[in-house]
Amino acid sequence: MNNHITAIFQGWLSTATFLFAFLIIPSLTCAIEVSDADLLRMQTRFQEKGSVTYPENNLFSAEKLVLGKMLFFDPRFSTNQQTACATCHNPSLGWQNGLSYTRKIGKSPFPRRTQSLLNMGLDSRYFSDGRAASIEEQVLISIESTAELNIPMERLLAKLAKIPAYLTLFQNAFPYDETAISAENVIQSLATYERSIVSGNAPFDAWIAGDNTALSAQAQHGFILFNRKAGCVACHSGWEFSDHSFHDIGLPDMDIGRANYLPFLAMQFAFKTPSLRNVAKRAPYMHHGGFQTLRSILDHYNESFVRRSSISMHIHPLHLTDDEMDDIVEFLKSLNGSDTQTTLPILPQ
Amino acid sequence: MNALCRLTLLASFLFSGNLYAATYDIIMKNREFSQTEIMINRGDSIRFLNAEENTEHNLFSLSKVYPFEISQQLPGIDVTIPFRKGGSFEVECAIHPTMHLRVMVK
Ligand code: HEC
Ligand code: HEC
Ligand SMILES: [Cu+2]
Repeated sequence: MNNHITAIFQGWLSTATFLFAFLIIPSLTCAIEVSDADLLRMQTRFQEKGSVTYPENNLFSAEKLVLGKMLFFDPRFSTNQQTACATCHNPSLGWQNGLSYTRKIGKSPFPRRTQSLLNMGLDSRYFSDGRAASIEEQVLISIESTAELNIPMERLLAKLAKIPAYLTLFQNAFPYDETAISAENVIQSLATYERSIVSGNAPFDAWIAGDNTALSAQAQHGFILFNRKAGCVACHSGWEFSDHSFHDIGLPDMDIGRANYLPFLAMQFAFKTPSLRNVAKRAPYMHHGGFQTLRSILDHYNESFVRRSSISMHIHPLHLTDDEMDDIVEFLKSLNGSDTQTTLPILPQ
Repeated sequence: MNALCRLTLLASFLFSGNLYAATYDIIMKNREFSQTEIMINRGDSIRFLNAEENTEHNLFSLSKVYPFEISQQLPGIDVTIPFRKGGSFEVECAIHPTMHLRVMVK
C-alpha cells in the first residue's frame, strides 16, 4: 500500500503534527470572554438536526418498522434463546448495557463495549472501527457475530418460520415478495427500526433556541470551553456532536481499531467519534468501556492521553483547570434529551 | 520487466502525453473535495491542497493498479500525485469517510 510518497511525507508530517499540536495550538487558545455574536455563531453550529435518510432500496414503511422492532426485542432467535438485540442494546441504559466488555458466547470476551444505537441514521459507517459501510451490512454482521446475536442467518430464518404469526407480519411488510420470510427482509426490517432510534430535545436545544434559563451559568461556560479552549468541537460537531470520522485520541488500549481495515498510520488506534447526545446516561465510555465517569474523560483529554505518532492533530495538552473540567461535564449533562419512552412490543406466538 | 520494455516505457513517458502533462488542483475544504469527479489524461497530475483552517486529511486510493496514501496531511500542505496509468480511481479520506473523489484517467 505505502509507496515512496507516503514514506517522505510521513516523516516530516508527523514532526509537523507534533510541532503544531504541542507548540502552536496551545498558544492560540482564546480567552473565555466571548461576544454575543461569537456565542451565536458557536450555537448555530449545533442547531441543525440532519434528517434520517432511507436508502432507495429500503424505503420507510410503518409495517417494516413494527416488524423490525419485534425482531429487535425477540430473544427466541439467539443460540441460547435468551438474548435479543435489546439485551445488549437496552433502551433503559441508553441503548447500551452498562458493561465494559461484551461477553463472548463461548470463548474469550470481545474487548469492546456495546455501542449505543442513538442517532445511527445520521452516521455513515458502522461499528466503532467502521467495518460496515451501510446499516444493512451492519445488521447482518450483528445477527451473525459471536460477539452479538450469534446466530447464522439460516438458523434464524428456520426459527422464525416456526412462529406462525411472524409470517403474517412479514407478508404485510413485504406484500410483493413470494418468500416473505427471507434474509433480505429480516435485514430491511431491523435496519428500518434502527433508523428510527433518535434522541429527543435536550435543555441544550432549548438554550440555543433562545431560552437563556435552560442552562446553568456553569454549563454555559462549559459550552464555551468545549468550543474554544478545549477544542472538543473539532470532532464533536453538529447537532449530534459527532463528525462521524475516525481519530486516535490516545487511549491506552491495544485495539488498533480502524487500522484493521485501513492500515495507515493515522488509522492506528482510530475509532469512530461517538455522538454525545444523552452521553451522561450511558456509562461506561469509549470503545473499550474504560472510563466510568465523564470527569475521568476530561482528565484524559487534558493531559493523560498516550503520546504516539498516530494521534490526531486535535489532541494536545489543554491546560484546563479542575473547575473548567467540571464546567464541561455540566455542559455535557445538558445534552440529556427527553427521549420518547420505548414501549415493549407484544411478540408474535 | 525486461530492458526493452523499460526503454519503451521510458520513451513513451518522455515523448508522449508527458510533454503536455497538466496539473489540476483539487481543494479540500469543509471536509469536501472541490469536485466529486475529474477527468484527466494519462501522465497528468493532481495537486491535492488541504485548504482547511484546522483539519487534517488522510487521502488514499485502494486501486489495484495505482494504490497510494497521503498520510496525515495538515492544513496548508499540498501534495501532487502523478497518474501514469489509465483507469478509474476512487480517492477517499480515511479520517472522513464521506469524502469521495473519482479520478478518471484517459
Ligand atoms: C451480546 C451483546 C450484543 C447483542 C446481542 C447485539 N449487539 Fe450490537 N453491538 C454489540 C457490541 C459489543 C458492539 C460494538 C462492536 C464494535 O465496536 O465493533 C455492537 C455494535 C452494534 C451496532 C453499531 C452501532 C454504531 O454506531 O456503529 C449496531 C447498529 C448494532 N450493534 C445493532 C445490533 C442489532 C440489530 C442486534 C440484533 C440483531 C445486536 N446489535 C445484537 C453487542 C451486541
Ligand atoms: C480528535 C477528535 C476528538 C476530539 C478533539 C475530542 N474527541 Fe471526544 N471522542 C473522539 C473519539 C474518536 C471518541 C471515541 C474513542 C473510542 O471509543 O475509542 C471520543 C469519545 C468521547 C466520549 C465518550 C463517548 C462514548 O459514548 O463513549 C466523550 C464523553 C467525549 N469524547 C468527550 C469529549 C470532550 C469533552 C472533548 C474535549 C475536551 C473531546 N471529546 C474531544 C474524538 C474526539
Ligand atoms: Cu479528510
